[in-house]
Amino acid sequence: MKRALSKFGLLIVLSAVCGTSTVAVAQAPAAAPASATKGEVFVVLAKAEPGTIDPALRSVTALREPPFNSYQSMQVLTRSEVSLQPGQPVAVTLPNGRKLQLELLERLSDGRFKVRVSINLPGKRDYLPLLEVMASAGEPFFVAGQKHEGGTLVIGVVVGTRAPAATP
Amino acid sequence: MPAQPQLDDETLQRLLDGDLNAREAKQARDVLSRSTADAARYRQFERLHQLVQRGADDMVGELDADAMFRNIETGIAKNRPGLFEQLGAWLSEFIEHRAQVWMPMAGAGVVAAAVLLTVYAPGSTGEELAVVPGGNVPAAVVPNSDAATPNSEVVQVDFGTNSGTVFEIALAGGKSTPVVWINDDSGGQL
Repeated sequence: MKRALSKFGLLIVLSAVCGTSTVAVAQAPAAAPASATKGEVFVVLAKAEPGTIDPALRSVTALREPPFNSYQSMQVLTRSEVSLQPGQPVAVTLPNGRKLQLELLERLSDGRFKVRVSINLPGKRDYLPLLEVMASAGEPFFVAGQKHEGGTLVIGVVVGTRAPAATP
Repeated sequence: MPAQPQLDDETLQRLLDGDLNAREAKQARDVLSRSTADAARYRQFERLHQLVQRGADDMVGELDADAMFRNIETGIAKNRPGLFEQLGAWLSEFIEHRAQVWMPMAGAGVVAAAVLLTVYAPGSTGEELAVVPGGNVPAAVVPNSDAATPNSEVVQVDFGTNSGTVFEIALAGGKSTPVVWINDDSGGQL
């Protein structure tokens, strides 16, 4: 059973109280055998200074919502397409040299994909040791906050097939 | 004499969160359409949700928890006492009845942190990764617009030595997308 409001409060409290803890958030539905699927990692440099919004992000509506809409310029730095197979993590090199590791864990019965993400730099302490997400197919989720070249990196992770682009 | 509510708080909250299935949601909305008492309570829940969301918006900008709670408090103060009582009841329920979840979770967190330190310790990667270099600039990044697909959800997150938070961005059509925000105090230094 999940209630977003409770979930939100729980995250706030736990994040504030124990920033180093592992937080279980949602219950996963039954899993189905996972097969290879496509994924994508795109990295956006967002800055508060006035500038342009990369046209490639036009359809990513989440980036037009708070808190992202406080950024007045967004530039897609990289986009990496990956093939995800269970048990075979892939690593994507980020513009700041860190590596984002993405692993498909399982395909859930509701069509979502359970994936594991981590961000680290070899030889350094892990920046984000563990993140597990039940990702809706083709919908990006975001990992943001890294400082880079005067801005903030916003990493979008997409797992599964994207729907055809909407007619402009 | 006011009409008795027919929907409990949890049902109202789940309706607001979009957690009810289609049949349950229809039944709940049917009740709301004919029960002014339930409709009024539902509006209070909606208002609460907006207040918390507004707080979240503030928080993410600077991760300023003080500002967030000030914002929520300000919003509450502008509303009638019933709303304040409702928030108080919700917080009490959350603290008291969820304690049974918190404590095991805290314990599990300690254990998990220890395991993670072992598994994810620098230089201890157990397997060779396929490394994909930073790719090309995209022509476009197009998300799926299928409203029937369940929303993405964060299952668990370990911020390690950093601090951070998880929140959801509400999108049109009842969709939402999670954001994991990490406080980067390094100033870009790796």
